[in-house]
Parts: sequence; structure tokens; C-alpha cells
Amino acid sequence: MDATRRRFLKVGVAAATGVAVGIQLPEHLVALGQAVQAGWSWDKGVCRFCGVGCGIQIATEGGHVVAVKGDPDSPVNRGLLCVKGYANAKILYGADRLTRPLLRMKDGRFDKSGDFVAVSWTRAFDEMTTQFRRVHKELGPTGLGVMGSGQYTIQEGYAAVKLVKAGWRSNNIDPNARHCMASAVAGFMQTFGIDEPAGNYDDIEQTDTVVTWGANMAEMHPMLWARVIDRRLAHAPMRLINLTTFTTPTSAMADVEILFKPQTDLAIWNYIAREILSRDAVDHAFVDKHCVFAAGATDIGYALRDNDPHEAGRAARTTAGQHWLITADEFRKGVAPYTLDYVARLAKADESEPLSAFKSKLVLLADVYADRARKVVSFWTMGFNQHTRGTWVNEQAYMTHLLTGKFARPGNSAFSLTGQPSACGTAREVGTFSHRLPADMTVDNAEHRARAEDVWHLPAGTVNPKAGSDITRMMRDLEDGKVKWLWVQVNNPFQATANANHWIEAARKNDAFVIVSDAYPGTSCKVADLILPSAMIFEKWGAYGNSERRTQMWRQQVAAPGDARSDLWQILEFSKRLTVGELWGEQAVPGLKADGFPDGRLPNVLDHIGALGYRSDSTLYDVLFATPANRKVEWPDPVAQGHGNDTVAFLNERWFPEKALFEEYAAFGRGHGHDLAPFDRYFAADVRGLKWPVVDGKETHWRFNEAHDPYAAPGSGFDFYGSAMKRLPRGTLDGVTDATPVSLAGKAKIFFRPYAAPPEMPDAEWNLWLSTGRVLEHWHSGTMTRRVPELHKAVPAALAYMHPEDAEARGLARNDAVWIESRRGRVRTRVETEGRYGPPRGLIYVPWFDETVLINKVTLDAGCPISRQTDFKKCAVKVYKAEEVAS
Amino acid sequence: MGDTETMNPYAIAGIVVRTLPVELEDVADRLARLPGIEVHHVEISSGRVVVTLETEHADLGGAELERLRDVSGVVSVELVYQYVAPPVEGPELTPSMSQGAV
Amino acid sequence: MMRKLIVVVSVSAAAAVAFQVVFRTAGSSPPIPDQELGLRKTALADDRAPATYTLTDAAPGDNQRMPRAYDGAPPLIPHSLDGFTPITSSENTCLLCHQTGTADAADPPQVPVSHMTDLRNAPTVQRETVAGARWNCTACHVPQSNAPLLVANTFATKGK
Repeated sequence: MDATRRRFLKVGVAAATGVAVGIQLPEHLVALGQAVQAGWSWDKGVCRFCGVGCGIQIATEGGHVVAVKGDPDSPVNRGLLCVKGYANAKILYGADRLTRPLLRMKDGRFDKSGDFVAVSWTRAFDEMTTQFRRVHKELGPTGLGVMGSGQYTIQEGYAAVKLVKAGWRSNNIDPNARHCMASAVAGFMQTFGIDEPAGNYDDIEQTDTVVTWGANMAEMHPMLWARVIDRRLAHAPMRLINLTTFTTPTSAMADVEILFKPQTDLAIWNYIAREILSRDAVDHAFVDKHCVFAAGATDIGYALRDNDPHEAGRAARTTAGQHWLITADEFRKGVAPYTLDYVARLAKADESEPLSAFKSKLVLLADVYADRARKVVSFWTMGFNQHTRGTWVNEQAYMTHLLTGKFARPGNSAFSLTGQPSACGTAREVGTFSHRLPADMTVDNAEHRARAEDVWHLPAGTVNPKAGSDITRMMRDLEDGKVKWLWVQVNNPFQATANANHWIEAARKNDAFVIVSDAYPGTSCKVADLILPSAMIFEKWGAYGNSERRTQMWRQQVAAPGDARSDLWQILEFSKRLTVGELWGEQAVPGLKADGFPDGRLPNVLDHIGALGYRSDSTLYDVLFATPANRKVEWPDPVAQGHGNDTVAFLNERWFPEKALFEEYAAFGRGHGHDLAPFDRYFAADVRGLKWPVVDGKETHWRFNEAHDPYAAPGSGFDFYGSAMKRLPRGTLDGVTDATPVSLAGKAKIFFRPYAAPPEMPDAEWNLWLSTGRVLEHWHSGTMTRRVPELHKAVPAALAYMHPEDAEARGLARNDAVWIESRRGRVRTRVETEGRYGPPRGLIYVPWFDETVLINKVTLDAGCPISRQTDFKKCAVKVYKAEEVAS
Repeated sequence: MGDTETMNPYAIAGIVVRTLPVELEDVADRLARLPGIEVHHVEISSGRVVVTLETEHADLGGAELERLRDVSGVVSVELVYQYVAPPVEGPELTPSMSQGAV
Repeated sequence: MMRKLIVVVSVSAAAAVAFQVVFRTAGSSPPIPDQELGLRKTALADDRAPATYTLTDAAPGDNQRMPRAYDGAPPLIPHSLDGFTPITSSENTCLLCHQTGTADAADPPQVPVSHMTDLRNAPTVQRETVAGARWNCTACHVPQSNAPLLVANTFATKGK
């Protein structure tokens, strides 16, 4: 290396070092540092993992990622990262990255019983198309399915939605985010008529209290927890209260831990509401002006199969989410039974804890919510969402914050934490759900369909009005032979779905054709018929939206290995294989009943394609993606600043899909409360993402609050302007008494929701609760993190965390091999009676990151019937010693 | 200044060394005399020194940072930043159609 | 000139055909049974308990500093955390040894300068103690076990 270059490099490194730790450097040093390009470059990006959405800086050299650091300029994390965040550099480099399409073959032909043979992309798409046509001919649009993801980039999710709904006229696209956030979404929609949090992360620095409900924030949203602890250490009145079904590291840092029995969160909220009423801690001005009271159907079942005995109590002909207005007096009647005595006895989980002590904690919890002077932020994640009454318990969080007026104000927030990096930005905002269209619109709404058809230049009647199958139902459809062509993208559903033995068998034994796009070979790849090698984050352009509505983008940094290609490329390239002629004629959709549609059928819309400039042999690529408008968004584009785009390269095109599709999608939300900024703005040097709605170039920090939200009507104070479900009949706790719809424009609903026991609870034989979840070091099904040495060696295997007395009572010692068995299946692992988790007697905790310990073989696929999200936190198991067999 | 001109550096690390402020100048002197080290900036108010360290390999878990910590007056040493040189490429072997020409 | 061009073209065509034949043969590899894919090498219906492993039980003291995950990543913890965790809001045992405020060479590695800066609330202030956002050490620093890797990671060897 020559001396001048070395000099420049050293000065550049020194300057960067000083800036990173906040040292004020003399200008000449900084300037020299900036002049150094040095063949390495830092570019901004976002972490691949949780819903916090930390900003990162990625360094590349010679086509490889060489370093990652927390972005000091990101308002989210200010230069900090957790141990997984630092692993962003290494996740691309596991030695068994998928690099070639793999198709099961025998004698040179596809054979479901064959082993995997490497084939070309052309051959892979040939088979996909052949199978697609076979299934479409036999079953129509409902025979197809896409299992999408809250880890899709925004552009990938949008392309997938458009392909499935506009192209195939199917609504069978549903994401793994169904199991992450669906209950939260339903809670938002029912309460406010619009999705996503009112507040943002800055509430942490302004609050006096953080209450975590069923959220192990110290491990699952670590960099947000860092902000909470920072506030706790700096602000004397600050208190942390952790409500949990087992002791976690979050409990250790909290001031108060409340160990409650699974599902009794429903009762605890009602106790708090009862206290607020009886102490007259209600913010009457707020409630009278901005809220109404509501109640709903109660016999709603558990989202199990219709013939399951647990569904026998379900009221016939009721939609699970049906609700109506009630009076304040009715609400008071509803919460009346939830006395301290009743709730304490119901909820106390630790048998060694005295009842009086537990009661004191509940009183303290009521105190913090009822104290008018105390600001409170409630955080929750999967404990609430993965719950057979998940929508209800989300609504109860809003109930309490609305009653006390502690909402949509700095420091006062009921904040639903998102699990995945883009469940908000992609799945929810884009609408990659079986019932959805972009921008909170739904397929069953004629006006929404018309709007989508307008933006998408489709003939009227193209979009299917009948909601498709949610992800659990799609697995049941696979088992029943109703779905026979399934494309899995950016998730691992055969490890992630409850009651997994059924779905693993279904994928292998029926005549379905299962395609799995992934970066690494995980459980789902093992049961696939075709595996497609996919590019990972930073090997493609992309955008994610985090929990606080912050949309962040990144440029492609490095190339993907071998033949791995971006999911966006895969969608666009595959769309070239099918024409509108074969998809837009009359189609059978069993059970379809909608105004303007013949029963059970989608109409032929081919008569209208000429007016739109299409022909029968126009491909979906031409009609949906490479439209004249999108082709005008050219590549190369100065925003790239020299970075490549392999999606463009492999499409062999000159237009910029990531930008064009983003702008096309953004058109849905702009002016409707979901405003995104122009694409280029997210790449500006001083921008670290923007919180939508972005109006006149300004982010919105607190929604619905007139002082902060441009969409709130002037003079309103607070304006809950969401429009869904804002015309309701009236009734009592027992049902509707007056069907005349009343308008609730601008208001939010305070729901009364009763306690309801889970469908499966421990009994004499199946005598332990099983709860499942993650650990700090591993993400989801472990396909990325278990290939990073430091993360793997920190937590090498999924163990069964158990109370030492429960172990002893079963003749088990620490590290013994055990079977964990439910009515549905069993897996083997080892007992852990020490370490970071402390379950009370009667409950065990098993994380799901380990493909050798497929705990979802054991879990129950019951869920919230409103949200259709599975309850992964509760089922009944027994644990007993297993033989030692070499694994 | 340490002898950096004749090394073939493989990696350049940016390090912040924290000293007891009263010893700042002496420590900066001692650091500067170590092989591979160059002192770039001294922040008097905080006792922090920004140095670069050139090494022949990327892994700084061991001896090099230890050496810095051992310098009298050093309170803490933190690796903040690192540039790693790309590998030197050999001649590229590409098929050439002209090789088949007669 | 023309003649040469024709020769080139015809030779190229032959070479292209030969090249294609060679390519197809060279590109094929034996079929892969699904059981051999991924980190689990047993059949999905054959559930085994994971191998046993131990997290390090070394006491803090004379341990070797471990190589960092990569340049700039947080150091790994070479000693056992038994008795030192959990960290609470009022007690952080890590800091008793790792934030002594002295400079004895015999001391364990001290909390670095970057941790004394609060980039969110007071970015130009040099603190005497660790910034509040850095309190939860184990969010970034983890110990290691003796578990063997399931698959190699080629990060460290690429581009270097």
C-alpha cells in the first residue's frame, strides 16, 4: 500500500473513531477523513431482526460485509446494538447458504418422492408454472396459496399482494405476521378504526412508569429496554412493573414482578378498570368527548377446526368480532365482579407467594394507572397477541389508557410492540393478509376494491371479494387437499406453525406442490418440493417499517452468492409465465356471496381488457409490474450513489422496481392518513427513517392528538379519525337491543371484555403449562442466528426451563433428556432448572429456535377467533424422562 | 512517531484510549512510541486520545490491545473502528475466444 | 480478415457446443436427501435430545481475552456468569470489577470510553460512569459454551 493511501486511510479511520465517541475533532481532521474513500464504504441500513428497527451502518470492502456498527445518528438506538444486531455482518456467511434451485427429481423428472437435484431457474419456473396450471385448472384461485412474511421488504410484500390478488384473483396470501401481530391489528381496528400505534418510542424518555405485559423486553426488544433502563436510572419517580407468567431478565430489572397464571391478564385489566371507576380516576373530559363504550360477542370459540369439541360452545352465525355500543353503566356492571379478591385468587401463579403479597402488587398496579399525576407507558408483545382472546386483551390495554386519558400524549401511551422488523411496514401497511388490500383496506368492501382496481388499472370485478385463508387455515387447507400449490417466502412455517405434525405430513403426502424460497435450508425446505435460493438483506435494495411507524430503507451493498436472487426478482420473473387470458376468465370461488357477483363465481373480466390496453396474452409482468408508469422510473438512478441492483440486472431491465413499486404503493396511503415520503427522501444523508404520516415533509410523532397530527381536525383536541367500524348498533352486555346504526366518527371505543379460560389447561395427566417463545441470542427458527458462531455458542440448544421442584417431583435432574408430550405430539430435549428463566411450579418454557427441538409439534393451534392468531403461550403437556440417544 | 512507514498493514484500527487527565501528555508520548501506533488527537478535557494502530491481521483480541492497556497511565482502551485491506488479487483467468482462433 | 473471422466463428461455435456439454456434466452433483439439508440431520419424525454442552465455568480472573466476533463487535465474556446475573435496576455486579475507575494493569478490562458517552441525552459530556442505556451488559456481551459449530461461517475469511 503506498504511503499516501496509507496516510489517508489512517486519518479517515481516526476521524471516524472520534466521531463515533463524540469527540470534537478539529475541522481539518474531519475534512481529511471525509476525503478518504479508501475502497471501503459505510452505508446506512436497518437491523434484520426485531421490531425495534435499530439503525445500523454497514461497512463493505471487496464485495463483502466487513463490519457493522450501531448508527450514532439513529434516534431509535443512538449507536447501540444488541448481540444480534452486531451479527448482521455474519448472517450472510453461513457455509450452507442455498445457491441453486433444488427440485425433487427421479429419472430427470419432478418426483415428490425424489431427492433434491440442483436445477436452473428456468427449469424451476417451468415446474412451478406446470404445477400452477394443474392446480388452477382443478381448484381455481382458492387452490393456490402464498405464505408471506413480516420480514418481506415493503416492495416484496407489495409485489406479492398485487400478484396474488390482482393477477391470480386469489386471497390466499397470509403472512407469518398473522402469528405475530394479528391480535394487535384487530385491537387497533376495533378500537380506533385504523391500525398502528398513536405514540412512538420517545414516550419512554417522557414517562414515569413502564408496565410490561407478557413482554420480555430485556431480551426481545433490547435496545428499547436500554432506553427504559436509562430513564429508570435518571428519573427518580420512574417505576418498572413486569407482568409475566414466568420470571425473566425483564423481571430482574423491574421494581415489581407480578407472576400471573396464563390468560388471567384479562381479569387483571378488568380489576384495574374497576378500580379506576371506583376511585373516580376517570378522565371525564376526555372520555365524554372522545370515547364510547362497547361490548361484543362472547361465545366465539377458539379458531380451531369446526368439528373440534372445543368449538361446540360457539354461538352459531356470529362473527367473532361483532360488537355494539353500551352505556357507561353497562360497562360498570361488566367490570363489577372483578374484585381484588376474585382476581387475586384467579391470577396468582406462584404457589409459594402469599395471597396478601400478590394482592398488594395488584393494588400497586391499579395505583399507577389511577394516579392522575403519573404518566404511564404500557408495552406488550406476544403475551397479549399470541392469545386465544388476543384481540380482547389488546382492547383492554386501550380501555385503561382511554378511561384515564393517558393516551396519545407524550409519556402516556398504550404501545403495541411489534415482533418482526416489518410486520408494520410490510404485512400490515401493505396488506399481505387474506382479507386485506393496501392502506388498511379490505377485500370485502366494494369501495376499497374499486379503489384498488383503479390504482392498479384492473377491470371492475377483478379483485375477489371473499377473504382467503389465514395462515393456519391455509395449513388445514393443505391437509384437506383444498390448497395444492403453495409458495412460502421469507418464513419457516413448517417449524413455526402450531400442531406441526399435521402440516409436515400434509406437505409430503398429498399431491400438493410446495415451493420454499429461503436463504438457508431450514425445516420448511426439508418438506418442500422445490427450494429457491434467496438473497438476504443488504444483497438487495429494500425497506422496512418498525413498531413506531418509522420507515427505513437501504441500498444493495453486496451480491448474493451463487444463483441466489431477491424475492422481488423471483416474483417479477415468475409473473412473466402467466397471462391474463388464463386467469381473468370466469373462476369458481366456493362460498363466494357478494353484491354484484354471481354466487360462487368471479366474473369473466376479459371483455374489458382492451380498454385498458391489455390483450389476452399480456403477461402478469406487463400488466402488474412493468407498466408504462413504472417503466418511466429508470435505472440507473442517482439515488444509488454507485450501488448496484441485481434485481434489475437479472430482470435485464432498465426500470427500477424497488422505487417504482414503492411509489405506486405509497399512492394508496397518501392523503389517507398513511402518508409516506418520496422514495429518495429516505436516502437523504440526514434522514434515519421517517415516522408516517409524513405530511408536508414532516413526520408525525403522536397521532390523533391535534397538537401533533395534521390529520386531527382543528379544534378537536383528539380526533380518532379512523373510519373502520365506526357505525354501530346499541345494546347491553348481553346483546344488541337497537339495530339502528349510530355514527362514532372521531371516537375511540372502550371495550368491556370478560375473562375467558383457554381451551386447554393442565389436568391430572397433562399437568404442566407449556409456554414458548424466543431467547435474546436467537431469532425465530434459528436459520440465521444459529449459523453465527458467537450466537450459537451462547445458546446452543432449546432447553425446557422448569422449576427445580417440578423436576424433582418427576425424578428429573438438571440436563436429563426428557420427552415433552401433549395430545398432539412429543419432542425430546433436556431439562434446565437454572439460568435466566424462573418458571413457577406448574409451567415450563421452551424456545422454538431449534430445528432439532420442534416444539410446535406439541403446541395447540387454537387462536383468537377475531384475529386468527395462534396462542403459542398456552397448552397442556407432561414431561418425563427419555432415553439417551446420540443426536 | 512509531515506525509505520515500512510496514505492510493489513488492518488499521481506530482506538480511543482513556487516561487520567493529569497524565495525558505523558501517556500520549508513551503511546506514540509503540510500534504501529500513531496519535491523531488528544482531548484535554476528557483525557481521551484517538490513535490508529496498523497490524498485519484483523484480529485484535489479544496482544496488541493488551500492550496499550499496559501503558502506564492508561485507564481503558477501546477499539472503535477498523479498516481491513482487501486481499491482493492474482492474475484473472478468463476464457478467451481468440485462443481458439487459428 | 474475413477468412479469419469465419474461422473464429466456426471454432467458437464448436467450442460453445463443447463448452455446453462440459458445463452440463460439470454442473451436476449427486441428489441431496432432505434429511441432509439444514442443521438437523435426523428425520423430522425422529426426535433426539440435543447434545449436552457446558457454558464456561471459568471464574473471572486470569482468563485469556477471547477473539472478538469481528472488528468492533463487543467482546465476549470469558468467565461464567454464575452468581453475577441477573442485573437489576440497582445492582450491576459486572461494574464492580469492570468499572473501578483506576488504571492498574492487573485490573480486568474496563468499561470503555464509548460506554461513558450518552449519545441520546448529552452527547458531548464525558461521564464518570457508564451511560444508563448501557446498563444491561448482557444485551450485547455473552459468554460462550463448548458446543461445536453446526455449520461453518465464512465471514472472517472473506475479503481479507
